Amino acid sequence: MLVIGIGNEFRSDDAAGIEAARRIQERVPGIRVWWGEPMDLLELLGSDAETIVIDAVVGGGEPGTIHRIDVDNNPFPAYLRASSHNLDIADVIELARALGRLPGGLRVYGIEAGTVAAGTEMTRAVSEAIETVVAEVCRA
Amino acid sequence: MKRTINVDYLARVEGEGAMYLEIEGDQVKDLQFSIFEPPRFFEAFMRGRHFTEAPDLTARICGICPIAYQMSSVAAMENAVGATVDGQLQELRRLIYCGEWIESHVLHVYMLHSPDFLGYQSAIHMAADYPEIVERGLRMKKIGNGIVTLLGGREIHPINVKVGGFYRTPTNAEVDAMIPDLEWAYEAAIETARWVGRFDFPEFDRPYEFVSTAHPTDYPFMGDRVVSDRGIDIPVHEWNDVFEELHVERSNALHARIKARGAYHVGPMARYSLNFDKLPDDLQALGAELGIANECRNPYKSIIVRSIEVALAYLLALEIIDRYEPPTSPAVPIEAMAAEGHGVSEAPRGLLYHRYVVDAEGMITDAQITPPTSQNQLSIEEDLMAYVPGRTHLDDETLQWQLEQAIRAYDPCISCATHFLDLTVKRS
Repeated sequence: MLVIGIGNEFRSDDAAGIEAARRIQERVPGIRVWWGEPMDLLELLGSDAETIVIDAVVGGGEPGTIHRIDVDNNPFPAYLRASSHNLDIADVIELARALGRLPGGLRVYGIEAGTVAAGTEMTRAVSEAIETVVAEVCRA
Repeated sequence: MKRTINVDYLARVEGEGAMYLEIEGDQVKDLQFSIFEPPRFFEAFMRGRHFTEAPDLTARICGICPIAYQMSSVAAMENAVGATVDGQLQELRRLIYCGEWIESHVLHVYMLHSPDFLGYQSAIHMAADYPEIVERGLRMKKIGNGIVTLLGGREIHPINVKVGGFYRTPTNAEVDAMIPDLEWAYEAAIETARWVGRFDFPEFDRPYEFVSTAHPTDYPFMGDRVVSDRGIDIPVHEWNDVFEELHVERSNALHARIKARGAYHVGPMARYSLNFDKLPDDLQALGAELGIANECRNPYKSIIVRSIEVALAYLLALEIIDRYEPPTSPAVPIEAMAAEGHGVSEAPRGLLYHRYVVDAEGMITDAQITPPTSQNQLSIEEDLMAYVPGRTHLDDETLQWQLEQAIRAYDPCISCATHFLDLTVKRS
């Protein structure tokens, strides 16, 4: 299993994906974990049968809301698109799909951010949501 | 008839941009291109930091071109203390810069700019119809990433560059391992240039004053002079005698201009046009074949220039690796002294100027950073002003598309944001 955390650790809740990947790495020794820029994610997709992507999203819901996104059969939902990056996670997933590189068994978690202002403090509800996602991934 | 084209912004780490156009009849009545750029804050918080920290701190200004910030800052610090970094260390600096040009240019050519010409909203839509081409671009970019990762220590926010050289230099085996990929990529870049050379381009040659770094023998990455095609030829320490930065109320970024004349243009077209004779014969011939012999003044055709620069970067990387011998020491020792230093280098999107004042303990007391996008702002505005007359018959959607494309041609740090801009049109 490969766990991919996306985000910017200096923009508050945008660090959710990275923080989740870190916690999973601590609890599941030997698991493959990666975090960084979405563009590089393209290289990683397809390298493991089971892949989990975790990212912060801004969809207008309550901070900490967890979106379990089925990208196997549906496009990445437009209302969840939010990125401070060159290409966002939705771009990369759709690019991978267009190129036939999207692995089956890809699970995407979007954690609703409270704030993505500059800073390293995380909203409490987001931190709790990360814990829920981490527990769910570690159980699998 | 009065038309207003108002383009809002989307927040991005690389910056925020907005465009506002008021058109009356065939003329642009009012035009504002506004951007926000983070480097302004960096100038203030560089004060009080040690001079050796400059490359690592300023690398954080941009996630796309950290090497440019590292190279301009080390050039300025070495200029301040009178140190010379040459030989294989300088070659390694050129090599890592090749990696950055490749990464940045390939991303722009394939993901941001070519969809404009082929009528796609994004690279994703393009990938469905042109999968082999997009795959080629991704592989080309990855090879650039490989260079930056090897020499920079890691791909994002590299950490291996220091004032005086590097913390660690690569072995012959490490650089040699890249040769097969680079040989493939050089050919791929030539194919890329021919592919983009067939796009349809609006007729739009502009009377820019081109400005770039100058190097006595090389197509410039780094150098100690700044030149233009209208007579500027100065050592880098005279920068502030010739150029100035003005605050413009609508924009958080300073607008740079030539004191005597106003707007100027930095970037691939400027480098190419001022240094065409320093390109290898094969690439000069390729430029001529693609209709841009000697110079290129059409911003829409900058995609061809970028593709040729990508080919150049792979070729130079191969030459540097071929001649490479690990230096005896990874860096030249640099001692702090009270001094002022200036440095320029060529970021993928144009000349990047740094100036620092350092005290006897090596602490920075003043910093000035002039990024390429703020230097090109006036030029972008003048392009937009010039583009509209004669094209007001175009509907709003088409006109906005072409104007955004003109902005994107500069590959400004806001290029990503301009892909997702909203448009408001008011007609009266």
